[in-house]
Amino acid sequence: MKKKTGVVVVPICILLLVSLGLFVFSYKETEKMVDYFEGEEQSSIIALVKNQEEVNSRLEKVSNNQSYTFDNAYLELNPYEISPLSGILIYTSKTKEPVELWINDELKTIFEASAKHVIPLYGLFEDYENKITIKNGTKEKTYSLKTEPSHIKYPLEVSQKIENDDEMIFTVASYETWLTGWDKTGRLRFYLTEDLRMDVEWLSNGHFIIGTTQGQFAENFVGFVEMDYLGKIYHQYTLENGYSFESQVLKNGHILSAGGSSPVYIKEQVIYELDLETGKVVDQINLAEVFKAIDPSFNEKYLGQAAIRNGFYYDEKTNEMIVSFRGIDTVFCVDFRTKEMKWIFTSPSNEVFQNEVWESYKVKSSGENYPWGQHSPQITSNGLIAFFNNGYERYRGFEVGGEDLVSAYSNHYSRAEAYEIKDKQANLVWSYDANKELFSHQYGSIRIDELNHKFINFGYVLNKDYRSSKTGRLSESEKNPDHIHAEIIELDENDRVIFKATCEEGKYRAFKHALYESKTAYIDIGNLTYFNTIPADELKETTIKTLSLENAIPWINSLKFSQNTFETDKVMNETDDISFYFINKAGKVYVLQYKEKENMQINRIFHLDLTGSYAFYININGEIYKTNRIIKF
Amino acid sequence: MKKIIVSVIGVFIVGLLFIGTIGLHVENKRVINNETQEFNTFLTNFLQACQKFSLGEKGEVKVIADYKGAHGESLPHEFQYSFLNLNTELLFESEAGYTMLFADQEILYFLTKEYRVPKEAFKIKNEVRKNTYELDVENFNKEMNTEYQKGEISFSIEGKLRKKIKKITVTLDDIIYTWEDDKLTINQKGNETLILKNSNGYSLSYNNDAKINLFANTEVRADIVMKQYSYSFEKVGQEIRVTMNTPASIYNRLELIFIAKEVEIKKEKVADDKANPIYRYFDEIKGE
Repeated sequence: MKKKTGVVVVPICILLLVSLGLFVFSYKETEKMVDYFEGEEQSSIIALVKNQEEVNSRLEKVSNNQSYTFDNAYLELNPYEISPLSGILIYTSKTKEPVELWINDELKTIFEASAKHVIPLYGLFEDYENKITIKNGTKEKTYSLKTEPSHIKYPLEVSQKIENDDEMIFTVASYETWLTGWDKTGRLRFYLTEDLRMDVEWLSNGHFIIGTTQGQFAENFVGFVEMDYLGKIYHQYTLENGYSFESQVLKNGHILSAGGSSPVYIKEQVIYELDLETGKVVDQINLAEVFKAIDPSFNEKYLGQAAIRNGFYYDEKTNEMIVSFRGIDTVFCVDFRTKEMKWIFTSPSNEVFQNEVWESYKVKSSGENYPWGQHSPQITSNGLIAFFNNGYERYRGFEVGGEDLVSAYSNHYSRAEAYEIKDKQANLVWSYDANKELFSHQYGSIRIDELNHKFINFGYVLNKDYRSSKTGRLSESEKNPDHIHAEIIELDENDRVIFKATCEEGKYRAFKHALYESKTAYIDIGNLTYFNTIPADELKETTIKTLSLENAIPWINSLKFSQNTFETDKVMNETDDISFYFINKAGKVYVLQYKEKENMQINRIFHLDLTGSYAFYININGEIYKTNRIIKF
Repeated sequence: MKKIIVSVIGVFIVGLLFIGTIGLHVENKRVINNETQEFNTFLTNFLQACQKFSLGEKGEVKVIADYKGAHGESLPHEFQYSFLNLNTELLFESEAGYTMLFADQEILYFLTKEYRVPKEAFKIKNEVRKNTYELDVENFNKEMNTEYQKGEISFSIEGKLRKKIKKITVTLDDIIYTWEDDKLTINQKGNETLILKNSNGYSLSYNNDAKINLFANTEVRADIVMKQYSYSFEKVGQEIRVTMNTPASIYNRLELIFIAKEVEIKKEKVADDKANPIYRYFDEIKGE
């Protein structure tokens, strides 16, 4: 009896002991993993875009709430929290009905017949009790929406205004104010509190495309968003070619965009056609390849970042595309579809083009007028080549040891120009030089419309007193707006000044566009899609057992991280070896080799194709840092 | 017979317990002494590493100002100055004249002044309660030139046979040091300093306003973040290299390379502050 009991009891005891042991082991392992998973949780999508999901969800509920009616509508100021002079009005009606929107006693637009009304309110006055009136037949209801003062640091001072003009002046400034919109009396009507900038292109639906700056380098961005004046984002594009300076909307709804063979850190300049519906590139031209096909010895430095490809313009009728390479004072023309060079317009003394293979491409100017540090090329509707000629040689600028004292440029001036270029001959047919008083050594833009009105931005004009200073330096003024201002001038078809404004901040570009069309669609609240076409990086896999993470060094520096970008103020050196560790709760580690020791380029764009939550660690030259961040992919 | 055996076993067990208790008590003291030394060593090593960043009394400094190009160009310009170290200020002098700049170096040294405690200062007197001892404050004040009124040291001990100190708490008037798991916390008047050991040195945070990583194993480097401004320090041979890595509107970064040596400081004319890139840098980041 005793023996039988022992046969049963002993294995049970062993089983219990083993189970207890396993339980204790897994408890301890779980405890350890909890230590790794300390810290702040964040999304892998940039906060600017991710935060909108919650707003969309909230407003969607409001729009389905039948208690909001014509007479008791939902009203909210700045719903997306980045556009303080905007608002939203939402209600439902029993039947489909159109509605007129009046803001501050002005009819803005008419919305189509619908039972659900999601009405965007754009262009509110700041620090004002804005009057919002909706009208439907005989029904009318007025609401009030109070805005706060903007305290915008650099207002637009309008010296020659246009009354009762619905068109706004939009300006883009890298320094402080980013994208702003002003009416033609100089009143601020739109601004964003997030850093989005460079070119702005409007789509047929009234939205616009603008660059997102997280991960940016030298005004080269990883992509752009489609946005409206509420600051609502509809689509985020994170692109394998990145995006910098310029886009152009095509008639087929696609967009041409400038970027590089790789995003942000541009080694070869590329301009590509993007299908906005799919995020796919359908055509592209690699400008470096075009140049190298003609001249294999061409200095590669000027086919990448140093080209400063600050603008292009595509003529859909002829397939001709003109491109501005400010870094080498050159405007050139290519056939976008056949990828062939057609001509180059640059000073004969430009040493970059001294190889005789370029002779057959060179355009000669009849009056010794050539591009100098130029911006904003355009092919006008009648085939002229227009650009903003800054008026000084950028190639031999102070950046490479050229003249830095402003006094050396006392006779220089900038002007907007239009050339007829035919049979490799350029004739200057139009120019505007503001009496040779304005020298804008950076920035600047020109657009000539079908009515032959010219909209000119002298974007970075050295102030008169500074120009006469003996110690003033271009290098100082380029970074700091103390001694500069911008002048925005509109000319009619007879070159009469019909609008003029100044601002003490440098303006990269200025545009004209209305806030509303005569008929406007309601906001599609739920719409937010992400396109990411950057190829996924290969990740190595290991486990936490192979890494010594227990005594990791706390990361004390700033850290901005997304699925594609990494920014920090920690000093990183060219010879550093940097890896990222992403640890999941099972203890598996995915490793991204961010930078090899031999690769002198410190930063890059990447694409992490992961799902789930991961504790984020960084290894720099064998020193492992704990970031206290949990990244949710 | 049975009674005798039981008695012997009983005495033996009691004897074992008695010896065990004495042994544990002795073990406590031994562990306390060892761990206290380790505590001192931890703090001393940290402070010694900090002290390697002394700029010296005077010398030369090369300033490399990396101007921010409009299109990402890195445009380094070099400036050369003589410097005079006045502990909370630095004087920079060139042919154009001199500029005084506030430069409180105490962030790296304040612990040496306030909290550095050599092991000779730590003498334990009476046990006031279990695992809590009165500190010999007179000895402490004599070693440290302080005027504390009272001091105490207490220990949390874990383990039965093999003992280990889990936590040490030292109280000197209103300063409380707590050492646990290679982490030292110092609380005084609502300010908290936290120092912990990591695989490459030490990390310090002061009220979350200042954070330092000190790499003290094979190199002498420090990363400092103060009020969201980022700096790094490195000692390379005789040079102290300071990098200011928070971008300002006109700079990507600023790098200063100090060498202590005998220089002449004339202090004859005041230079234009804004011509000094260090002044300019701090003026710009202050405004951001």
